Amino acid sequence: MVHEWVTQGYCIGFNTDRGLIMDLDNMKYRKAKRIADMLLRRHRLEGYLLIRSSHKNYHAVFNRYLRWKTITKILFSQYECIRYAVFQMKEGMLTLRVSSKNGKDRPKILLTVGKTDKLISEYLEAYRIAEEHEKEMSMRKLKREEGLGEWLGREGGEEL
Amino acid sequence: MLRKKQLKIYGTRRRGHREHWTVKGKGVYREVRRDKYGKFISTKKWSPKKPIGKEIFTETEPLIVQYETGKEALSKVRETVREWEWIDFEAES
Repeated sequence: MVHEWVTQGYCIGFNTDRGLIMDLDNMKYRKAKRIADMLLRRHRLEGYLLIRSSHKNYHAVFNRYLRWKTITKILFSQYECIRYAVFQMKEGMLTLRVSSKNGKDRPKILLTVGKTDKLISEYLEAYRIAEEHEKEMSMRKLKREEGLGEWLGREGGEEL
Repeated sequence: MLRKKQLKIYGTRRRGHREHWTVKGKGVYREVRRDKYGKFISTKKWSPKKPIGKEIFTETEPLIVQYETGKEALSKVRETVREWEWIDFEAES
């Protein structure tokens, strides 16, 4: 799978340099879960959130706050994440999408394991913000369409 | 001091005018070249990264929104999104 541009509108992303978040692309749920479980045990990350961004693409957010050095070390230790890690290092921050993109749905939270009080709570806050923002925007779009429909109806009525 | 949390807004946004641009079909942006009399010369495919001219160009740099509370973040996101015109285009790759 190649990197996908944001070709429709804009996207909202959760941005952090305090903890570990991962993009697990091109893998099944079982493999994503296995990687998350393994990292949780190996680095004592307190808890994780497994999220499905699209078919066969997952995100993982770990609860513990870490130093940037540790984050890079863990990211580059995972073969599956190297591409993601390289791109994120260029930015100097780790980012995960929390809104919909190019007509695809918003990421869906599948699994919560362990504690959720630190980085996970921050992620969930951003997730809710994006959700509310999207609701707001879709409502506005609906209203605009309704208004346009009414206006067109009136125009048609006058003609008849 | 309380550390501020961050959200990133990214996509392709436009600055300046679209006078030198035309939209062909559905969401396909093309650059149009004209001579000094305004006569059509050629069109070429447009990349979101490429600046169009001195006054007209697009931006792909992400916008960072810093916040402390959810409400603050929501209003900031709304403001930031409204400030720009976000464009749809057809990716070349």
